[in-house]
Amino acid sequence: MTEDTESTIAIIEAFIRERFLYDRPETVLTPDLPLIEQRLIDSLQLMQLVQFLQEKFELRFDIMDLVFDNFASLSAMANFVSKQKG
Amino acid sequence: MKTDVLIVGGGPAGAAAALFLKRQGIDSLIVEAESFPRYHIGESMTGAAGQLLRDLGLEEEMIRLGFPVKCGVKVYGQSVAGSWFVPVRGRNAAGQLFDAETWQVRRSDFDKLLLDRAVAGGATLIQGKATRPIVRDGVVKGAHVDTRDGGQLVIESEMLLDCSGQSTWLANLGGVTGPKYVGAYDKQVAVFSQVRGAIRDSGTARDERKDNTLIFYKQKYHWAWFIPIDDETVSVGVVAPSSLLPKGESLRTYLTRELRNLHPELSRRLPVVDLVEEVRAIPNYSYQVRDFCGKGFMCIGDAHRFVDPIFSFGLSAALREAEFAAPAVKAWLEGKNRDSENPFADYQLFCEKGIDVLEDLLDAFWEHPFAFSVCVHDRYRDLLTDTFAGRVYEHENQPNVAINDFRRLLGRAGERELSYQDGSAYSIPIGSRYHPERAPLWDATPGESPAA
Repeated sequence: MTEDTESTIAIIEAFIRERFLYDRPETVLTPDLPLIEQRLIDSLQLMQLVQFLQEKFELRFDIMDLVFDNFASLSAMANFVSKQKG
Repeated sequence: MKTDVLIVGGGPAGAAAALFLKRQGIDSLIVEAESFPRYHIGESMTGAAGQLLRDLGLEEEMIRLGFPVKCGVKVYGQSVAGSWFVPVRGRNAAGQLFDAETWQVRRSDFDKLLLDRAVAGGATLIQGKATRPIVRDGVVKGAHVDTRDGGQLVIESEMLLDCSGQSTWLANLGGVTGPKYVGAYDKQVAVFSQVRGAIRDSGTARDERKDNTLIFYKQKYHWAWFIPIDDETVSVGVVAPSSLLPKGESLRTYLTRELRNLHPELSRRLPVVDLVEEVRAIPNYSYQVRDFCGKGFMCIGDAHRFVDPIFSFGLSAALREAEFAAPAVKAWLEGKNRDSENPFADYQLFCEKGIDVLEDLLDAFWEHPFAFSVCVHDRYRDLLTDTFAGRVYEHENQPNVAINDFRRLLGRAGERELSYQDGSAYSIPIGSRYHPERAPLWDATPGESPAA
């Protein structure tokens, strides 16, 4: 994992903890944990997350890239974001 | 017997066509087989349909009859906590969105209201069943009608409007329209009835009003509707792949079980499943008729196309197509376009483009739920509000960038454009998702599924 990916993961994790897991601070988040599948975030929260990622990293995701796989876990999101930035 | 315009079917498409024709100074004759009021499904209207009724001067009557006022649609997804609200919004002359309202209707009452208005406005109503069209030299010149009292009529017309709804009268007879194709949502079945004692919202905020439409999504192609039609009664229905309907089980048992199990929020709202209306089913509701307009005839509304009922576009499409038909019919009666192969090619393409926008919205919703959600919640909120409100015939604004993105997502952007340019004035049938070959012909055998 690159340093860049790690810092992206940290940013996303902080957002998720603050916005969605504020009442569950004990939740352990690993980079590959399937967030939606494990019901840690729901579909509406996922929308907020997409919005956050675009704003934070100044990106506009192409509609073709808006597939679950790109947002399934912290590492999936970080990889996707880094590809978009590149 | 002779008339300028013969309308087959006195439902909303036919009655609205008569009303709009009257505005052009044209009287019509409506043939309707059933006595109104009669039951019909399809109770919810888009904002555009509500606006059209206001334009027809029916607002007071709609209020007097107490039809529930709809401010929007609340969609409950798979996560119990999450629902999203699609508000009914209008767009003013300056292009700004404003909060608007439309109606839910008990169709027996609403359809009777429209038909009564048409008759009061001068349309002649004949109770009977059109059996076959009269065609001379490739031009439709009227229809044979078996009247309710056992008589037979030959009604000659300059123009015939097929407003027969899902029975697709002309298309099923063959020889006048082009072929009828299976649509994307075949092998689906809608099973529905009405309940009393349902728990409705009771708030004052627009998304918490008691008369809004609720939709419950279980999984792809499997969902339920909840549409209040008066203070006590709610229309409920479940739509699912036909394969999920157990053979031999009664529709009532199936619907009751589905209403209890489909979604926790739906079962919460139905503490008792008290079905107060016959349980009915419509299988294989998705189809599209090619060349639905021609010399002396046009098909309006469900008589030529039906995509998917989830966002309540049916009444809206029927009413608006009826509105747009009137000036085209007037021109024909005045002798214009008599020599062209399809005198209503412009009208036909105009309607097809509108429904294509709806179809692409619906397909994106089903096939690409994640991308669709991002567009609805964030990226194209306002533009999609227009489409949900049924403003799809405003071709100066549609397809908008949201719909174009959906087309790209669905891999049909170029395809749509090509179909508009090849001179056939006809949209490409997308075809059934179950069929590897595209758009097989509809098998008209009654009670049978389309060709598998």
